[in-house]
Amino acid sequence: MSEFNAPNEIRIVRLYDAPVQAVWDAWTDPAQVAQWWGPRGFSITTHSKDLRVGGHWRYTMHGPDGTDWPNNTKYLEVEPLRKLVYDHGGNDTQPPLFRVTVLFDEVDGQTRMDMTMTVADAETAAQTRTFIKHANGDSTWDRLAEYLGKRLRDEDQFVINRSFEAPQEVVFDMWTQPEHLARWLPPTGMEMRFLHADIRTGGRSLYSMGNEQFTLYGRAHYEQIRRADLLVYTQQFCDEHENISRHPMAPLWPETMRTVVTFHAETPTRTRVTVSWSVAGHATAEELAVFLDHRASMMGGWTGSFDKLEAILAA
Amino acid sequence: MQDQLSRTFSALADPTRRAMLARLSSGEANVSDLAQPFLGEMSLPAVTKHLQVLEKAGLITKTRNAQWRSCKLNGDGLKDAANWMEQYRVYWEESFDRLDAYLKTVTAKKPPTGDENV
Repeated sequence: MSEFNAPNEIRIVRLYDAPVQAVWDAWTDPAQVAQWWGPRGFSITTHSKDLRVGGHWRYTMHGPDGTDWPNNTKYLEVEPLRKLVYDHGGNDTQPPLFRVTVLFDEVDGQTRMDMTMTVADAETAAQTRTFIKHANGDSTWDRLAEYLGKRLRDEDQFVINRSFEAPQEVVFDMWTQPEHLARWLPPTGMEMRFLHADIRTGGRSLYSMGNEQFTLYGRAHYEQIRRADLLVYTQQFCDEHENISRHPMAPLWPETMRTVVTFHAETPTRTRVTVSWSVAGHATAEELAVFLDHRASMMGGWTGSFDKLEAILAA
Repeated sequence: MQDQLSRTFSALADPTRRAMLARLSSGEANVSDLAQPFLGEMSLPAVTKHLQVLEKAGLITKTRNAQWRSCKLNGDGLKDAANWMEQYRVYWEESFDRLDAYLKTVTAKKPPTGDENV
């Protein structure tokens, strides 16, 4: 088994395309924190923030359903641009829920954030992990990436991370070998078939995705592939002769989308995958608005997602 | 009893209704134009029923022009459903779940190293 973290710990490592000063500021300036802190759909109000040893950060998180969650953080160590240690969740009547250590480290203009939450024991860690997954807590660290991209490069993107218990080379193969891709990429109930596939830098592929009712075609252009850590491709909907078309369910969906996938070995048998999604090339203002707008997602054709979301909501 | 959000998502869970919304995303349309692509596979009352579901879910509003009943998208209804990023997240989380499950079958095929205790 991997030794990524101790049994009573939850560890999150992320690499941000930003200098450490920008990441530190995003973490510590209440005005910036308000732009990204919390799971997707949450917002926060900071009541007070005293960033020094023994100081407190008091804030309220506002859930998408209108529920308010009061929060209290007490700083135990503050080393600007390098380290934060804090206790979270304690107050006059209850001890802290967990202790967090965050390390920041800039390498070649990128910043590695290495965060460890420590709880009492393995059982509490498992419960906390379940709670975080249920609350989409990990999306906080994706929102930070999106916030930094917008602030530093004016990029509009969607970011998501997941760690898999498999070696980096194996996970990379899942994304770059057609026979593997077709086994997991299509939404449930859909079949994916490659009509041709030349998955290497500069190569192209044509695939179909569908079920008994309908078939969609798509083409991909692989802009950059670097085994086993980087995959960059653009995608368009098309017909079976590769003429570019629009998604029948989303006529204003941008014509070309770019996906950047990076792979990082967290241990020899654990790999973190980071997907970032953005509009490529010249999207009209209207198309960009659709990408950024709620409506796009509703009609984006991610059939399975809607059905499952509905099931979750109905549960 | 269903809350509004659940109504919105169950309205969105049907491909016919999503196709109707897609049509309305390019502008207001009257009921007969909206119905036209579906009349080969369903009756006009069935189409009307789909439109009623969309209206109840707050996804469209019906307006009454001089002669035609027409429909248009209700942006607020969609906005209430969830924000767009959440949809992307759900899509990718599900893809990752499938990859995770598939990876287990792939790694399981590898021969054991011999020093593993069972």
